[in-house]
Amino acid sequence: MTTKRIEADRMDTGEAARGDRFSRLFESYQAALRRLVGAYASNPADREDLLQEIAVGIWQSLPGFRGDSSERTWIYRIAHNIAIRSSLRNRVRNAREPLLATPFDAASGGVSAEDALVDDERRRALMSAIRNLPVLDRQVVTLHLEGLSAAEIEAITGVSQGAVATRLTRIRQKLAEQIQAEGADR
Amino acid sequence: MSQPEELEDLWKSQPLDKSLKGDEMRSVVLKKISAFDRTIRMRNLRETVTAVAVAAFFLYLAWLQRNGIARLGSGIVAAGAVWIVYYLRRFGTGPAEPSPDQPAESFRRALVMKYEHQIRLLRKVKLWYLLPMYVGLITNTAGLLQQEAQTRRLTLLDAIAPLIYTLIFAGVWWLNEVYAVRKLEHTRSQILAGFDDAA
Repeated sequence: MTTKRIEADRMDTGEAARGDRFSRLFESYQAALRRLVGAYASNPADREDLLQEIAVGIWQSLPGFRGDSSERTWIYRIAHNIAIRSSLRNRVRNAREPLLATPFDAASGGVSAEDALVDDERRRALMSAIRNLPVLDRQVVTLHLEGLSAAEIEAITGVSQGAVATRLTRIRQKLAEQIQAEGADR
Repeated sequence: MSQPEELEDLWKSQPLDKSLKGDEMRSVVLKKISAFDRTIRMRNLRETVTAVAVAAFFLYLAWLQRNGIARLGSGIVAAGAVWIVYYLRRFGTGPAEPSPDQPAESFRRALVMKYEHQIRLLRKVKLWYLLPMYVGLITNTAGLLQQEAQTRRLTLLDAIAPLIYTLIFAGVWWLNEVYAVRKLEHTRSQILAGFDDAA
């Protein structure tokens, strides 16, 4: 076997390993990434575009991932950076559109139709309020809602752990006010 | 409603868009990357073909023309077309697209640098893009008018062609150096404000 052939085989193996790793990562984080894109784009086509852009970012950054940070921190860092770049390009369309593609399913899973409707409205209000936040606040709160620690949020956003706590208190208050205001409008 | 757990529950209970398998997304990604590469290659090819066509056309004109000044003007336009493509290849690309896996602060700095490069490029558009072509066209027109003046009296109507392309060049200058720069500056300030507010 020639050196060239050995090198080509090694590259094929490397690409295959990269592909497998990408697929595993994407499947593990898909739900979180889909929630995240919902905080930046309101219509389904924009969300899908953004998700694909993030996936491209993950694919291209994968060979450089050395495990200096956790996989989770690394993924969220890529996702948020790309979401910011994309929202700058799209001038953040905040129009109130259907929250997500799934239609409202009345009385599913033992929940009454009325309760489900109320939950659906609250989710809409929450997403609308999150989309109206400044970018950095949006990052901090979505990472927090995904269950990341203050240290992880600092590693992703650069906001110090102390500032994360202060920011979260203010953001929660702001979200509650906006959600209440939307509820009062109905 | 403002209880942290309630917010987290609401956030996590969002109905999600249709999910894809990892392998499906991988093939979407590879298609997107190859489409992007193709777009860049086609854009470069278009620019080069246009420059070569413009240069060839004006060189041919220079060969046909009898007046020395008009010849010089055509030569300047031909050289200008080649210069523009060279300039775009040499200085147009700027810093590489910032890698998204870096911390937010350095990603922001890299994004700002990218925008600043584009702003600098557009602010100099009159020098590297408009000037060579404009000087060439004006020189060419002056030569042609000098030649015409030998056989007839020039009138105000002879000023129409240079006036029209002066207006076109002024429009291109405004679109690049004023309108586009203003938009880029706005985006740059959004990047800074988006991160720095309430810091």
